[in-house]
Amino acid sequence: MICVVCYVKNMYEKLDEKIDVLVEFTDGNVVPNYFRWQDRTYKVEKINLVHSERKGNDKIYYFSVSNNVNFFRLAFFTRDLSWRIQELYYE
Amino acid sequence: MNKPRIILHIDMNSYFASVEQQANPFLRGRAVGVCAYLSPNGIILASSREAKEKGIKTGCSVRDAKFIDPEMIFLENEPAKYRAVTKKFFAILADYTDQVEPYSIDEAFVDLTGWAKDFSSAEKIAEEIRNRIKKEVGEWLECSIGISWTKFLAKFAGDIAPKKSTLIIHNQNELALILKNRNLKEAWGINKRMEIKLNSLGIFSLLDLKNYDAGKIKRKLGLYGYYLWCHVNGQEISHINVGSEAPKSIGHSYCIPKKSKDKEYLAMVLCKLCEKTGRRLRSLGLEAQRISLNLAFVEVGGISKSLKIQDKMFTSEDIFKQAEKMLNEQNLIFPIRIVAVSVSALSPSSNQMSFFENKIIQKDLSLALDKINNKYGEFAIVRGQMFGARDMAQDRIGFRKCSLDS
Repeated sequence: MICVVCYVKNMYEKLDEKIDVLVEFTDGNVVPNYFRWQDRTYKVEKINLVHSERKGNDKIYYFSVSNNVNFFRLAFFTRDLSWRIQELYYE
Repeated sequence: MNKPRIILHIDMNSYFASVEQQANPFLRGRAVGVCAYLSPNGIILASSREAKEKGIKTGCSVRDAKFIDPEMIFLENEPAKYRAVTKKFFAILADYTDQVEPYSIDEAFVDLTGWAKDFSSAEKIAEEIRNRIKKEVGEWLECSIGISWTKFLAKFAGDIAPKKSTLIIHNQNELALILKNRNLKEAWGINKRMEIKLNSLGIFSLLDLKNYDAGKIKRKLGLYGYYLWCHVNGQEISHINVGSEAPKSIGHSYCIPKKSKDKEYLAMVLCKLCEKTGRRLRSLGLEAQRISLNLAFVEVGGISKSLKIQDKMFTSEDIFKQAEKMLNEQNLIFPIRIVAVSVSALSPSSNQMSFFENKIIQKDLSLALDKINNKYGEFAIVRGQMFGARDMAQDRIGFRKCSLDS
């Protein structure tokens, strides 16, 4: 992952962990609504940005999402249909 | 009589930083700098509106920015993210005309001639585009829009328009009023050197340039000076170029973290840059006959060498062989901070046989290696010399014309 972030006061964590995601298929889009990470369930309140990237044969969709207190970056890997959490930011 | 053209220029404000703030809403309202590198000497490619208000502009180093605002947030640029957002806003522009010229990652020209009745309806389209970008791409993304009858004037209007707004230059009278007392360097295409040349002719403002004699400026400054005169007089000298032009050169550079005179280390960096250059060259089906090597010293100055070779280069090995030879010929008096390699004199690839070596086998091998890297990801298979160079010279993005393919 290219995004390396230099935040103050350790508010940012770079991660690479598998997560379970509950998604909704709506208006032709995939919308992650909830995800489960480290035995906690998080509600996605807002999808701020979706972008994709090709890495070899794999196409990865990145969802930059947030709730009231956290920002998360979730990645969906089309090659094996897996989800991973890659970034966490909290205040 | 021909109807006047209606050209719209759109420029996204504080683009990379705004995209980052769009992705992470907790960054909004804070000074953010998107950098090429996060080292103290790293340069800020885009500062957020909040950083600009504190005087931290694009081009400022991380060290200086931290001095001004110790709380500032620095992010390493993420090209895939910006390209994806650019694709989305270019798609919106394409809904209004088939004449869209992507000028850079965050700028485009749109020819609305025949699609908008007049400047007033073009302004309505501009507002619609602005609202659609906010709704369909991201609510934090702002843009400046300029509208006029030439590309230059549309860009000039967009550049001087207050942020988040649209400025129209309707006619010659309005143009003269806008150009009055405008600094020469505010115009697209006039740098410090050209400003000095224009000053020597008694031209000190853009209005002076507009009022200057066209024949005289052509005699004194050649065609380029004449083009500048045409620009400020509202005469079009170029049209909307839909799609990308064929490249004249292909190259890569890297600001090395370990400033060094060690030729073995520099060759490893060079090898990776040559591989990236070769990958792009082959993906475009081209070969090259000229190679340039640039080495910038930590101190002022550097070395710049260019060489035209007999056999055309196609494989990364062809490029690296020449580049390494050029590197070894140099006397490095100071440590190097930037290594750059580029190839030019491009032509479509052919399978012409060489008298001296079997190049077709090497070409086929290169293409096979490219297929492996396409399938398993960049640098899945590399030359032995590139071991240790995995994190070097990663994907970077610039503001000039660039491909939106990652």
